[in-house]
Amino acid sequence: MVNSVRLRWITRALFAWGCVGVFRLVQVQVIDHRAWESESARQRERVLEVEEPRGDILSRDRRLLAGSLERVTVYANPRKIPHDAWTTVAARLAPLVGETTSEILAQFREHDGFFYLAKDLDPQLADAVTRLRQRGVGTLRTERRVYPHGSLAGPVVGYVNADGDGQAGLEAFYDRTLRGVSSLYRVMRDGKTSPTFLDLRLETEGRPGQSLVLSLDCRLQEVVEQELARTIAETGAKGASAVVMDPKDGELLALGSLPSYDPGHLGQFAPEDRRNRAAEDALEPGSTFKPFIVASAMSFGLLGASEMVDCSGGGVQIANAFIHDHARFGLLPVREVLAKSSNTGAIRIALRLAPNQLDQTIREFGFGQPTNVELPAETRGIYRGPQSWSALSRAGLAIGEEISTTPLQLAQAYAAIANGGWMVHPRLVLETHDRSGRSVAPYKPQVGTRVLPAEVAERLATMLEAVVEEGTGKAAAVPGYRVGGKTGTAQRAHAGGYGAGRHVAWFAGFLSMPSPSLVIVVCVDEPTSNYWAADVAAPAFGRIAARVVTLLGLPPSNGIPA
Amino acid sequence: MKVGGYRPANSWLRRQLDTRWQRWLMLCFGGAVVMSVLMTAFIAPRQSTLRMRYEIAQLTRAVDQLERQQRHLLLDRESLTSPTVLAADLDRLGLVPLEPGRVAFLTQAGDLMAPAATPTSQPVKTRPVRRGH
Repeated sequence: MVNSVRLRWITRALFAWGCVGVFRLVQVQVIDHRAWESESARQRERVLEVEEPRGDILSRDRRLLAGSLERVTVYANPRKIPHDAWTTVAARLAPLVGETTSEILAQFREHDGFFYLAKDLDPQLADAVTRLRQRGVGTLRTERRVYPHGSLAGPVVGYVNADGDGQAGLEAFYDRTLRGVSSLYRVMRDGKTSPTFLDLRLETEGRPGQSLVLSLDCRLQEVVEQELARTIAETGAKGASAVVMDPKDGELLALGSLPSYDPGHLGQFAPEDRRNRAAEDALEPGSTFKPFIVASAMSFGLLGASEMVDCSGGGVQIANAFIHDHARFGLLPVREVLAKSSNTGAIRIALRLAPNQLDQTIREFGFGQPTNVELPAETRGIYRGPQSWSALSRAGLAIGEEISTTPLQLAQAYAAIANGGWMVHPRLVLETHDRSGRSVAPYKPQVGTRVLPAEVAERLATMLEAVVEEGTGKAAAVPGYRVGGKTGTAQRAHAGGYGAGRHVAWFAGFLSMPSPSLVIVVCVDEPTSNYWAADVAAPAFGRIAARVVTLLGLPPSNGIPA
Repeated sequence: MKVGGYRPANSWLRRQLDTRWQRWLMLCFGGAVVMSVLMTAFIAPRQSTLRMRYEIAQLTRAVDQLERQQRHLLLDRESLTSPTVLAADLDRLGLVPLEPGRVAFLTQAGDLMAPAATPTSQPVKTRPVRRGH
């Protein structure tokens, strides 16, 4: 006879146990469903971050100025490798990393933990190292930035650090665009927790780095750097820079700065050689600034194009100072004031202008402001407004003193004269495209702002042509082409004064008239053998211009219908 | 009591065979057939998918390798044909860059215009500032 009381209790206990089981099932399967599912996924899956390749930097003639190569780094952690297996592991690793067994063993003994055994290896080695299935040894995917053209346009392209972060030049300015966004993949792990790549699922889609297409032309860049190197060799200058720009839309066709550096071998170059002189060196423009004084006076109706200017006296007395001219002139027409680069004439024209008029012109031509070219360390130059001027300031500005400008700013200002009075800003990047070559940020023509009446710009350009035909810029002439430009020899400002024997030689000009398609500015810093711009910068301009027009296939001015 | 001469004979009795095992055998066989069909229907494609994934992984690796080689070759070509390298070769061979005076142009009217010849310059030999290549 079954004890009914005991049976009842057993039944109740079983029922309660069943209830607990059901409750637990509901808790696991329904209430905590997501938590357990993610725990399960955590155990059998792994999320891998895959860095997308950095974008390329291409010139306008589609030469690769900077690109990336996939590489592999092999690491080891001797603490995770059994001591008695060190020799075996070292022997198996030796042929893979290109070292001897004893060398690897020495490194095992030297390091107490994680260290990089070998860097910059072929990615195929990663598979071979993984196949060793050795705990404490593994690989990391890395990327090496390569600059196939060496120092060509080095200061423009810039460089990246060991982590692949842009540090200078376009590499730094467009770091986010070039870098891209990493992708996240979910992969299944095997029994040894290694990823199998059999069930690869994209978790978060990344974006490969976008590539930049520059306005620079590699051939022109080479010509510019070659001629600058020649100028430095001939004049013993400390450095030189040059800008070649299309005045119609501001595209920079070449931007040379010497001494230069190879971004791929940074360690071989002095830190002071790493700056881009064309955008970072602000120097007094000297007489290359005179055309803007003339432009201002003509724009405000204070000077006629055929007016005679008194350039007599061998200089001008301003307040307590006498500013000398380099020669004694009499009455000169405006074009000859520029052609002969008369300081007296330029100062007398400047004195006709009210401070605010002169200030307005200087600002409109972009002096004292960055050009906003895509270079991170561009300087704005030095220009103080009329509130800081002394009695000598207008005279100083007339001959290119009390103001400092970069070659890039000067090229921008000369472009406004060359293109009929429109201010366009220099630019380096034409377009951005993705990995497949599809344009992401296509080329947009630049809309300029008028800073000079068209007739004033035209007359000024003609006057500057006279500088090359009969004035100080004869050495800048290119046979068959109508060239306009202006020389400028300035003392180099140093420690609040002017250093004896330290000069800067400039030549800024354009060709081929009447519709110039090139603006070229050459700046030679501290030439020693001869510092006059007419002998140093103008010939360099002439040589660059002659080779550039040939490479671009620009027809000569004479005899070609406009 | 003993009955003489009588021997009980049960030849009329036929041993009854237990045939239930045949049913079980049939059931097992049927089960095996069903399992085979199920495996063929569900597991085989999965196996095939797995095999294909291995093949895809191998092919992807091969494609990656080829892309890396292509990239290497592209960068090598760039550095070998760099204008800097070509200019150095030009110097070495004693050639001078083409100058405007030596280029003839066609006018819009179709006439060939040759500018006056200008003396050619000497090749540049000195490059003391630039390093790298």
